[in-house]
Amino acid sequence: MDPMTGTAFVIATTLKILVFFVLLLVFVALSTYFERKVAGFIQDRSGPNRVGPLGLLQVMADGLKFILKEEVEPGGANKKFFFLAPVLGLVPATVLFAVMPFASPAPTRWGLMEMIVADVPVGFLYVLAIASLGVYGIVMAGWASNSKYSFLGGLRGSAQMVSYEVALGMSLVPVLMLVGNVQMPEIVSAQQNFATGPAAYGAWFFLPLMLTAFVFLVAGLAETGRVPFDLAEAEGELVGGFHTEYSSMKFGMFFLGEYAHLITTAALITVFFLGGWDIPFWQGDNIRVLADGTVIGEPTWWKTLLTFGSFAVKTLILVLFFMWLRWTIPRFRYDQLMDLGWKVFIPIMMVYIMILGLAMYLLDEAGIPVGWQYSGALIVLNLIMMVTLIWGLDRGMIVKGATSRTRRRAGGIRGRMTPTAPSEVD
Amino acid sequence: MSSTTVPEQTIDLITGTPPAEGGADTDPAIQALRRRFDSAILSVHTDAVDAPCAVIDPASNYDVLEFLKTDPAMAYDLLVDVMGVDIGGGRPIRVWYQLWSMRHGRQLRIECRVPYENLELRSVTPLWRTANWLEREVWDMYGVTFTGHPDLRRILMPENYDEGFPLRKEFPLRGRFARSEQVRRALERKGEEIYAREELEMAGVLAATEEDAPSDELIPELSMKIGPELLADGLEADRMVINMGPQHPATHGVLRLVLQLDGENVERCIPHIGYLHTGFEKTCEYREWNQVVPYTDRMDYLAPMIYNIAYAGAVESLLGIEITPRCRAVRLILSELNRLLGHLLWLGTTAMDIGATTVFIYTFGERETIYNLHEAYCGSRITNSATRIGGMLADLPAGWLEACRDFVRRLPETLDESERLLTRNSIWMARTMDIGVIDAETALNFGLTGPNLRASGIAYDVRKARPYLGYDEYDFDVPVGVTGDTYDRYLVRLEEMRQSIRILEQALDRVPDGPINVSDPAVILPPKSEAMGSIDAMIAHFKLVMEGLQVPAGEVWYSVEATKGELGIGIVSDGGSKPVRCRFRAPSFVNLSALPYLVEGGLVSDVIAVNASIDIVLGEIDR
Repeated sequence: MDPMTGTAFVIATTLKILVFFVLLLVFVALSTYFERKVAGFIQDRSGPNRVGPLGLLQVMADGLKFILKEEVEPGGANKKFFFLAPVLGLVPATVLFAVMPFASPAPTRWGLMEMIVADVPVGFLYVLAIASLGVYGIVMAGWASNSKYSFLGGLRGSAQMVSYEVALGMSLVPVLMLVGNVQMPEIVSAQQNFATGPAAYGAWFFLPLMLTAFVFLVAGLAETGRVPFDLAEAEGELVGGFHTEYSSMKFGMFFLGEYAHLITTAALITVFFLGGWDIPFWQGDNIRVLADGTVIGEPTWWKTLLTFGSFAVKTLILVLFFMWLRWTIPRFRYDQLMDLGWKVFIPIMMVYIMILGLAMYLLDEAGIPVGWQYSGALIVLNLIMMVTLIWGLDRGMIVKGATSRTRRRAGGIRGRMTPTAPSEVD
Repeated sequence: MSSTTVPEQTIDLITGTPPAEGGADTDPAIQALRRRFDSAILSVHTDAVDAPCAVIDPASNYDVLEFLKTDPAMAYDLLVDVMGVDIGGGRPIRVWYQLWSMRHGRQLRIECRVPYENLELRSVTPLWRTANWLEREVWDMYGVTFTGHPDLRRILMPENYDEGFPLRKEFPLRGRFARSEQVRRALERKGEEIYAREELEMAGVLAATEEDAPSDELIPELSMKIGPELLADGLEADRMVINMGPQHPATHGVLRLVLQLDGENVERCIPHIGYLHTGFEKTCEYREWNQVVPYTDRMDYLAPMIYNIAYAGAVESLLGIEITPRCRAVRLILSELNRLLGHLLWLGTTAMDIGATTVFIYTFGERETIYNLHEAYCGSRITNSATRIGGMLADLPAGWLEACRDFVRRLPETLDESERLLTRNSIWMARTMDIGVIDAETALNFGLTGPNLRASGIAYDVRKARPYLGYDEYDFDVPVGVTGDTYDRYLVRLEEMRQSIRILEQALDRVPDGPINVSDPAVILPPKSEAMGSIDAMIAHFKLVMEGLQVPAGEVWYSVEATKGELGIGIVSDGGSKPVRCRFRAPSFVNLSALPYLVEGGLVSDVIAVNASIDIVLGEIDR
């Protein structure tokens, strides 16, 4: 079956945009509910349970509250940018979904419909470009609010996002090295296992590129600006950071933007490292449309639905993971965050890219074809590096400040007591 | 009594008991003082808990205190408190310096009687940095000028307050001005009179009046030279001054910190307190002894009963009565429960400030149980007012001890859980280790007490140093830290909670039977049945109700270990039914005064972490 063309393509794309934009917003709204339920579960309490069955309508109540609340504009605020900032906070997170392949292609009467809104040739470069726009929302909000707390938050946010943008970009280089293409569907199919046709690695990239996946996960989390990277917001320090002065739906848009960002990041990790819509241990979903229009595999509607389910489940698990993190660990300090980005992740990725390049060269020289053996060798290599890194992380060599603990805890703190102590001062 | 009349003070000199056999005169410090400053020592006496006191010539206060601090045989290294006492009638204002020697385990009080005509003393801030805030408070409340003080301005009252000095006896309870007059005067004020000198300096207002201010002629020269030093100089004017508080999620109340920032680095920090000042100490002077109790638990509302118990203990020592063994055990149990209450809140909020929200909910769950125990005991949860002079408001209800035992058995689990979330957490360690470091000597100099001092390595705990409520009969340790950083303060408090559990486990099994109140009809109302049945009891009842409790003339300094540090209560009585002076040495007031030292040079995030770690409660700071 041939891919869609002409009018059918235009109509199908419009429909896809509508359906998936609405779906995304629904998911965003539900994830706020989900987050509160998860928090409730972690903290031994119920979470929202008053509005509607199981508290599900809480989402509606919140939305209504945002819309109906009075909007306050601080004196001396720059109106234009003050208004523009929340828009810029929400839009990039949503338009990122345009290049996300969320299911296997579906056959229709008018041709094969690729389940991606826009399969742009620049692929993840588009992702990096749009994701970096998100920082403008924070900077503008911080600056336009005419408040010192907001300003500090904006500064923190911009520095953080710009730094982690670099780590994020570098952690995609290994993916590019393996796939040799930046197009998102190509990345998905490279993680599948094809009996015939083009070469694929037959393993989700979080295995052969474990370290990269880890860095991408952390950098992605930093991009979303959630705990432990919520420095721009830091309610305990900067009150609300860049959105301190926002109220009503303008605040609501930042709020939605944060969750849209969360889902988008989770979806990106799914595509890059968790095989996208691929269903594990099953060859039936290995469907691919080559550049010349040839279709490998047998696309059907039910497979499309199944693969979409697989994509959604993976994304949700990641979202759950991020929420779990948020309710478990404290936040970094500003300088520690920058250190982690510039002094840890970027050097690690540089070295990693070189090691990976060398390994790939050696494997090619050894004549091992792309496939499970190739992936297996990379997995072993990654495991070794990963263990070294985690060992290093846990030894307090990465996050500064924890170095002295073995020295100090040597004696322990318990029971060192003398009644009316002889002064230890003199 | 009308609020404008001066309360009558009939007794000319309120002092403690004269030195008995082996009293104050045998105290080595007093003997040494007599040898060295004989002419300056006016009299000596002991107070109700047999602590030696020396009345000295106000002119030589600095020399005497310097000797007491620096002489190795004296080594009074902790200035616990500086407080004023006005006994009214235009008699000299007394300034007490309450001292403690870590090495010798001795306390001493130096009293200066400063005449109204010349209300001046030499400041001891060069000796103890803690004197800074304490002397400011005496100036604020009594108008005693401390010469040589670096920053003598109002501390609890507003900077533009000009109704006088509130704790003087001639000052009416309701103040002097109407609200409208206060507003009118406030509006007439110039900015320079309202702000701290440092703040004005920051704002560049002061520089304009000083000689070293850059004049216009220098500017062309400046712009011609381009060098790194000059560039740095030029940038120095570009500092951000930010107000943290009084409304801020992480200042634990209405505390205002003025921070001067260079980027995220804190260059200067000036705390402003007093937003919650309600004049408890003044009000207490107009209340009968038992009526003071409700004011005490409103100070440290996070561990209210410790204040109740401390106040009752102070008055009882002045009365010279011994509480019943059962009462002692009950008070001890309640003290330790409240220590847990305070420390659990501290753990939760500190974790919350540093970003770990879940610990907060865990510890608050446990606090809820303690509040339930409070409620089961006395009906109220937060402001209990549970003590009466000579006993408690009621005996323990049936089953209370079992409920408490259940709680004590369960609590370690929550502590372990919280500790698993934090103690070995990389981010937590990175946020707290080597942050806000204060070494032992500096900590003592700042007058820190409680867990903050112990985290710096000094095992000073009032429960061990001057045991009260029979703490010496229980087996517990005092944990100390090594470096005095935020992490050590965290570990010390965690361990203290475990030690409190240990004390509770012992105490709950040892509560003796018997009456909870003393059977002294001059102190405690006789039971109703007796009051209706016997004439003696009825007379006692009548007298107690109509005249109130009479406390013999005298003075006392009584201190306990509160959750935040040493809570000292200084009480002066003229033998009447109301205190002449009721001073609360709030531990967090003194601890907070060290905050600038701890945070300057750190980052904004560290201000939050350190401020949380020193554990303040604004209720007792502002009083």
